[in-house]
Amino acid sequence: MQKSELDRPGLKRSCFLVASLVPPIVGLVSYLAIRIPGVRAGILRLVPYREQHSAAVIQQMMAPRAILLASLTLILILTGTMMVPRWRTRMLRARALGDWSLVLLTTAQVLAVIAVFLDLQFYYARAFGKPIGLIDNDSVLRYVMPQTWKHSQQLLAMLPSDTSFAYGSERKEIFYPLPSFAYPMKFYFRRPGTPDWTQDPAFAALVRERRISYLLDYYPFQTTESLALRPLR
Amino acid sequence: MTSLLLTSSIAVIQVLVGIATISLLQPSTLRTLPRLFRAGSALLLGVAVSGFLTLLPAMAGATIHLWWWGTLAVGALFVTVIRRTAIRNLFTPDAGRVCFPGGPLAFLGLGVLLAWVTLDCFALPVHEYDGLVIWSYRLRVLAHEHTLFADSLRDPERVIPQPVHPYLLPMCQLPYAMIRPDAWLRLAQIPMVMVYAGYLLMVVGAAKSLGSTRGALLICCAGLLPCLGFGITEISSREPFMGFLGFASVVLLAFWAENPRPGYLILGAAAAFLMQQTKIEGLPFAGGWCMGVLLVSVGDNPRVRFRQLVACAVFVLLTLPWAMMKSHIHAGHVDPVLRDYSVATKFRVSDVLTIVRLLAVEVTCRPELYGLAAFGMFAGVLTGWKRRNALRRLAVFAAPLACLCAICAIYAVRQTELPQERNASLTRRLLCVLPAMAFAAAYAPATRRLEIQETLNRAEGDLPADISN
Repeated sequence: MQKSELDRPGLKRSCFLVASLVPPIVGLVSYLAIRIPGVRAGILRLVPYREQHSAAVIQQMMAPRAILLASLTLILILTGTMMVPRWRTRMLRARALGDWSLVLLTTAQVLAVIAVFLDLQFYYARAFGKPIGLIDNDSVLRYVMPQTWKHSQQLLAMLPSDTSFAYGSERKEIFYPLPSFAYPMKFYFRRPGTPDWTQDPAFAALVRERRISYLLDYYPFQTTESLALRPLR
Repeated sequence: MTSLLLTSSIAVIQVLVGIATISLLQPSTLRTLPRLFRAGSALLLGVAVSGFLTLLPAMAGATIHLWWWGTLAVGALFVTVIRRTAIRNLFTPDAGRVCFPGGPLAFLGLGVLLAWVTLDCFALPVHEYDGLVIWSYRLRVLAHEHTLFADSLRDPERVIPQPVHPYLLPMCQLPYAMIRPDAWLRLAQIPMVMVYAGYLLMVVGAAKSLGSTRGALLICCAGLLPCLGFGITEISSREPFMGFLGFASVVLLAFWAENPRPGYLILGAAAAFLMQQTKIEGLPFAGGWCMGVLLVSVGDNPRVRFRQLVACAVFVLLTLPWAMMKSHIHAGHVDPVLRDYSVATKFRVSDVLTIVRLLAVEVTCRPELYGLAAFGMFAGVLTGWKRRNALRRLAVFAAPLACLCAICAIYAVRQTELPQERNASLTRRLLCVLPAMAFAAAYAPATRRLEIQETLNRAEGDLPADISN
């Protein structure tokens, strides 16, 4: 039986060479493309949420692309070296081609890891104004959600810690951080269906059963009167 | 000083539970696992199994106090003493020595990641929204009220509870939060450091079983993934935990495919079903894992494998706590996403394409999170596909692919329901599948001996096969 064309050692080697080179080359082209402002804006249009989302902004600040670009340039140089037959023969004597690709991939990955590690040290020191070991829980909460943190502390200072609220705003979306930060205060997600809450029997029953003291409308992004409290007793 | 002592004791107890769990395997099975994989899975399973054992009484309505972990320690010590001969096998060295290309460099990177996770978890509290607002709330309530049946968690009228969510991870973190209520958010990260260290050990152990070249690829793609190191506090603690368990279950499935020992199957099933107790994505993953097991069973030595499968089916019982919890609690408000997802009325092809586009851009353009993992995995699949046993290869891909499809489906449905910025959570959900996917890409099942012989026979003019030679 005749052997398959693909079994020829030369062709097999070429296929393997192409397969091994595709990832670093695609990677390099992608990362170089990101450096071009127009292309970068085009990519960001594909994932528009990334620019709007605060967590994504934090992660973008951590991105050590310059160092990664340097490592990918290293890959390019070494790949170029592999293209020169005499140099390639010398290198291949020392190691197999697949192993070389892996060494390069690993180098780039380790550089990215170290760069992110270093970048984060500076990022936290810059953001919190303290060395990394001295940042406490409250600083982080204040940093991540400054308004809500302030409002929750106001509520806790104003009212006893076991106070119950009927909670919400005109928007249907539930805003979780306030009830979370103001624990052990109790927040019930229910609003009266009528302007006079006593006219809504279901709501009145909930108020009676759960001993709810206030109706709280919360507007986290307003600078004045974010907490609209209305006594229910 | 007392709290330091208690914290260390809890960590030691979790490790003991892990050792006791893994010592239940047959000594011969233990010896065949790579040594680092044994150590890593003892750490990971120690945290997860002690959490699960705490979840069971909590589900039954018991109030949890610190002495419960003392009971676990006594139980673990008892098992350890009974199985002391098996435990000796934990330290048996591996048969062969494997040198990875670029090994020292890779280990430097793994060391940096572990150093960061340790520093981050002890010095910085949780930084991400869900962790701060929802999961931290649950842990804080548990640490204060010591029961799952607190109104703050169960009352359907309350704002945060979401009682249908599984509670395994808060149970793993609970003892630390109970020791120091003033520093609960920070101490609760200790188990995450432990499982991350366990994960890195497992990656290196699994890499050794794959050989030097593909093992190096696995370390590069799964071990050096920056997002798993930084993700624990920056992105979320649940998804990396899921990723570690998923990795363990898929590696054990591959070991079982190579060598049908029931121990691999039991441990793999336990890891897959513990995922299901951690997060909803665990359900499709566990489903995919079962599909993988069936694929392996059909293709190779089906009689032995099916007999083992039936014996291990009892482990499906691990899914019961969450199922019970869901059936007993009335959800106060039904998330519109879940409602639409359940009836699948909003499923549109154009939304699937949108998600595929987002997924591609997300993975290929995030060097600080995914590094070159996507390209590494691509290279792994491309260069490994020439190995013949396609059924095994599909089997190890089944679980991560099922989970990935479920994630895509969730996002496809929510495109019409929620604003664009909610797509940002795709990043953290991907952490559930990436480690398992990386292993599946690096895993290249060797051609079976019989197939090699048949191929040779065909090539040489259909001579009779003599596989005994």
